[in-house]
Parts: sequence; structure tokens; C-alpha cells
Amino acid sequence: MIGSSLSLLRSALASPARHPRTAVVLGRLLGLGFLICFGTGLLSHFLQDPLPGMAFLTRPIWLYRLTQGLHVAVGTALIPLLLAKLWTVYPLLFRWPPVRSVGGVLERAAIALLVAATFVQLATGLTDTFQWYPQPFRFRETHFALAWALVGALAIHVGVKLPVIIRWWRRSRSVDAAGGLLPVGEGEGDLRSEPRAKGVTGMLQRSIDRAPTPPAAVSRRTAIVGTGLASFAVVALTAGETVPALAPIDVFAPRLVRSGPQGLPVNRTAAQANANRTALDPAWRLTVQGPERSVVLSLDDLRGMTQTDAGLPIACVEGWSTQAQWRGVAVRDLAALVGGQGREWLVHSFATGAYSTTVLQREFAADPLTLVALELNGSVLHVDHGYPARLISPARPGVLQTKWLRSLVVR
Amino acid sequence: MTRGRPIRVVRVVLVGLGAVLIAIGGGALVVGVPTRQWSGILLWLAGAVVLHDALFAPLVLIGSRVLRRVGARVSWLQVAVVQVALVVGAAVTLIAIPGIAAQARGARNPSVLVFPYALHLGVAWAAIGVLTAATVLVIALRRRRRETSPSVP
Repeated sequence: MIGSSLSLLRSALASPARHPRTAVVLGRLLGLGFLICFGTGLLSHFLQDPLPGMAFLTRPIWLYRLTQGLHVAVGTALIPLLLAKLWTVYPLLFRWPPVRSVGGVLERAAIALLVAATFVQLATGLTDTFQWYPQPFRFRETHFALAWALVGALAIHVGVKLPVIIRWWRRSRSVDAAGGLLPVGEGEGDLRSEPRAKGVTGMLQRSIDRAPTPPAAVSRRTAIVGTGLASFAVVALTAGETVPALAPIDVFAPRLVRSGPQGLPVNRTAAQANANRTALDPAWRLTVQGPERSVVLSLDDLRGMTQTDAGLPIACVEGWSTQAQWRGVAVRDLAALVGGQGREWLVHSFATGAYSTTVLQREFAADPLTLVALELNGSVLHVDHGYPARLISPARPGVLQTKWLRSLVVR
Repeated sequence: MTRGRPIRVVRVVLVGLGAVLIAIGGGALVVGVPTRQWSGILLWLAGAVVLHDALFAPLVLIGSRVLRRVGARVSWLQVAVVQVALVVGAAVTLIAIPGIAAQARGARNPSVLVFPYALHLGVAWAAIGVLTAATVLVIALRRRRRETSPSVP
């Protein structure tokens, strides 16, 4: 009874485009996308929480802008791709019996984990870019843990399906002269046509099958073109927050490249960070504590030192980025003042909450473009951009570009 | 099958690698996320699958069966255009929802949530509707012209 009902359901779900070849075409794009998101995500994670002995590239200056922009844009593109892939294989949910062996149980468990983790990653990733956190768990740590589980489940899934993937990898072996997909033979994958049933089930099945079916080639192209256009549209209409050329059609992104004080978006304002009072205090001083000596510098002291100009982007973990012109004192000049060349620094801010103390690794501290910035785009830093002084360095996430500096302490 | 053996090796390696990666994910969860939040994660994982499998996918099935009935009477190409339009519209709606929801709760600062997302979504659907209608019309006109013009022997 259950078996025949499910068989009818599968008949109703049959479509010429629901085929292993479609699953392979969409699946390899999804897989590639997952790996890009995983790689760029790991870079972003370890930049913020390096393992002992890790060092990072400080060039090109736009490296993090590129990797995190990709992370968010590719993740956005994966939303329609994932739904299309699940549409393709949806009839398999109603297989009967659901599993035939211990291996089958493990296979379906891996798929369940893969699908569930992907949904949660894409959904919470997207809402996070809008600074909306509806989930009842920490975003960053969970996103990190689920990412490993996701690529693990993906590896298992690919391992299980490898013969089918190889069978349908090439177009020339998958499509007939008219553009339709070839029938799925024994051992060439699931999604085979339903066998003819007898009795009442057979009658119902025939009535379902009598419903008109689109030509195979039209059905296949509709699925691929629809998915492609949908992925293209969601990226095109949001990536303008990081790709200047797309800014004119940025209509759905959380950010606009030039909006914000001094033409730069703000992630956390001085008011949000409880930094207003200390930042605007005329008695503000920057303490630089080195291995040999410490200095306490006023804003005028800093302005009296050699000023360095640097064109560097602010690139946020949330996926937006903007190029800007900075001017201030190079951190390596400050390090030289206290005998701390080539060392690693603790950077303290007047802000409260997360990232109020961060580590400036030695490769970034030694980079000539890493500044204690006093000016942005030709004028004094706006308080929401970190007045009186903030850190700016190449190829690092925005959360580490500490605002409202209090002290640099050698580690 | 000369390549059967190497493929089997690759499959075993992939499954083994997958198990190791999942274990690392489990470790990261234990280290990074407090245990009282685990039930929330489980709920979201299961909820996402149920939402898709029991609500979203059946709605898509009903929609596509209806479109097929219509498709038999008009042309399959026109149905295909409508399907593509609906898929694009649905994708754009999905990515607009967080903006609309976050805006309803209030932006954290003036430089985030910079657009009227609900309005933009309406405009996007209107644009998709106009484009789709125009394409469907062009297909119909071309078909009629082909049918009325005398066939060349």
C-alpha cells in the first residue's frame, strides 16, 4: 500500500529534466561553489583566529576583499542552485523501501546532513550579511563547524555517487540528437522511469501519465536556463556592494559602496561601541608599549610624525568592501620608536564587546602600508570610522581594522 | 573494466575523508558552541529539511502540474518562459526576505539596510512580469505568422 502510493507520487513527480545528468550538471557547480566558500571561509576564520605558527599574505592588498567578496557572492549564487539540485532529485525522497542496506542508511544519513547543513549555512550566512540574527545559536562558531560537516558529507556523497557522476559527466554521452536526455539504464543511477504497475495502481498511474508532458529538450533547457538566470540575477543584484562596476544595479544588497560618512559604510558606530566619550575626549592618548620602552602620544604628537599615505580597501566579513585613501603613521615607525620591530602586537580599543582587543601579526605589523590612520579620503577620520586613530592594514578582515585605538602592546 | 579498481580506491578515500571532515566539524562544535545551543542547531537543521521537503517542494509540484495543463493548450515554449520567470522571481524573493525582515526590526546604523527592499522586490516582480508577457506575446505572434503564411513547397 505504502509502496504503491509512493510509486504514484514518483510518477506524478516524473519530468524529463529530473535525470542524473541534470543532477551532475548542477551538482558539480554546487560542489565547486561549496569548495570556494569553504576555502575563503577558512582563510577568513584563521585570519581572525590563527593557529600557532600561521602567517598570512599581506599582498595583494585586495586579497581579502576578493576572497570574502567571493565567499558571499558564491554563497548567494548557491541558493537557487541548491534548490534546483534538490528539485532534480526530489522523487528519490519517496523511494520504497527507503533503504536496502547498512551502506544505504549511511548514504542517506550523509545526504540528510549535507542538505540540512547547506540550508542552514546559506540561510544564516545570508541573514548575517543583513545584520539580522534570527538563529538561536552563535553564528560564527556554528558556521565554522557546519562548514566542515558540510564538505565532509559532500565528500561521502561524491564517493558514493562516483560511478553515476562519471557516467553522466560528458554531454556527448548524455544527450540525444534532438536535445533530450538519454534513458537511464540499469546501474546508471536513480531517477529511472517508473515500472508499469498492475491493477488499481496501474490505472491511476496511466491517468497521471496521460497528463501532457513537455518535450524532453524543452524541459531540460528550462531547468538549466531557469537555474542559471536565477543564480546570475541574485549575484548581479547584490554584488554591487563590493564590485564597483555592479553598483548601479545593486538593489538588494545590505550595503551601497559609497553610503556612510566620508563615503564609506560603517559596521559599528561609535555609539554602538560605547566609544563616543573616550574618542572625543581632548585628553585622548595612544600608548605604545614596546620591549625597550613605552611612549604615550597625543593626536598632535602623531600628526607631527612622518605621515604615510595608503590606498587600502575596507573589506568586511559581511561581504561588502570599498577602496579608500588613508593617511597616518606607519605601525613599523611606531614599533621602531619603542624597539619593537618585527614583533607581534596586541591592539586595544576603547570600544566594548567583541574585537575590542585583537592581535596584529608580525607580517602585518611589518608591512609599510599598515597604519595608525588619522585621515580618511582627505579629511580627519569621522568618529564612526574610529576618530581619533584607527588601524588599517592590507588584506585583513574589517573587524580587525580596529577603531578608536587605545594602545599597542608588544606581545 | 580496467578502471574499476582505481575508482573503487577513490571512492573509499572520499568516504574516509568525509568521515574525518565531519569529525573535525563535530570537534569545532564542541569547542566553539555552548551545549545549550545545540538543540537550537538541531532544530534548525531538521526544520530546514522539513520546510523544503514538506512545504516548498510540494508547492512547486502543484505549480508545475498546473502549468503543464496550460502548456498542452498553448505552447511549451511559452510555458518554459513563464517557468524561468517564476524561478528567477522566487530566487530574488528569497534574497530580498532578509532585507525586508531586518528592516522591519530596524537597521543597526544608517549605512546598513540602505534600500527599501520591499519596494525593490515589487519593482523586480513587475519587471519580470512585463518581460515575460512581452516574450510570451512575441512567441505567439511568430507562431501565428508561421501558421498563416503559405507553406513553400
